[in-house]
Amino acid sequence: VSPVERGQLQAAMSALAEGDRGAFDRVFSALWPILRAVSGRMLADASEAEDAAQQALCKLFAHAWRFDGSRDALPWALTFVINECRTAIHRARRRATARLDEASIDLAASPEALCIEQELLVALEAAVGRLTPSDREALGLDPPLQPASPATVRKRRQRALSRLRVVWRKLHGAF
Amino acid sequence: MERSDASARRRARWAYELGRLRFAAPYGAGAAAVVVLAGLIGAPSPPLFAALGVTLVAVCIAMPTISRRLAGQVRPGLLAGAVPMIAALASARGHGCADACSDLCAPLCAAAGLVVGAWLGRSHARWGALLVASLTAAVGCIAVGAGALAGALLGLALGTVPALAVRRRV
Repeated sequence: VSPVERGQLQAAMSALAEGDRGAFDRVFSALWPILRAVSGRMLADASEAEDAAQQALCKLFAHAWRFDGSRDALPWALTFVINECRTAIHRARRRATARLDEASIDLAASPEALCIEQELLVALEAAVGRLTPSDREALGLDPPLQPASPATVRKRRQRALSRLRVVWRKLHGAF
Repeated sequence: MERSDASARRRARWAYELGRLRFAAPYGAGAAAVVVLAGLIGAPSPPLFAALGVTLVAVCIAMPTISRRLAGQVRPGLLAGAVPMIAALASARGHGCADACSDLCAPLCAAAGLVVGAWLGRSHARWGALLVASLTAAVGCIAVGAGALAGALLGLALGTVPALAVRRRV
């Protein structure tokens, strides 16, 4: 964005904040391509990028009355699209994690699946082997030495799982 | 692509107008509070009171929705109009007159209108502020009668219009 265009955007945005509907088209024409370009760079999926850009655009115009003319319009506008893209990225990550949790490997599906399962089991055994006896007990891999309340068992399992995740990451990288 | 642009433009326009309404909502709430206060202090003729109240709230929402410059005229207008409104309602209560009062209430409304009209003319000489002040005063003065209403509006106009005319010439 050239300094001249930036100045024009600043003036149009200030006018729009004041309530000048005539400035709407100028602000839209200046910002829409920028928002799309930024979301396109931040998000790999084209449709998600388009959605994020549209969401950011709507939020930007909904908050246009709050715009303070003494502030720079471009960074103010970019905040909306960056926040929207970050939200989309977090959403996608959550979706991927949920899919992993739900996914079950069909053991008899194919020789490749069996091979993968074998590899996973070996990798899991290596990771579990590095856990302490109390963590293995908490995960139900070893018999319990002394009884504990359900809340304690749950807490210990949670901690053991988080330690298993750390060990897994060290050995095999991220999921 | 063009279709997507048109859809984005439409959604953005809609979001903008909703945003402006959100900006105007506190002004409308302020006006509604004034109307409720007037209704609680004195119970004027319901249909006219309701019509004036609704008009006042609608004007106080419409002005900030249209522009920020007009939004700045709502508060002084409400403040200025509240003085003759409260004066009218308080005097009507203390005086014990109901519909047509010309001894004290009407002159009091006119005097209050003149004083706040002069203040409005000096500090916020704008047609929007005068409109809001007139409607606010009317909401209260209608409880006293047509004389009080006319007095308050005349007072407001006498105080404000000269300043508005001078401002326009300058």
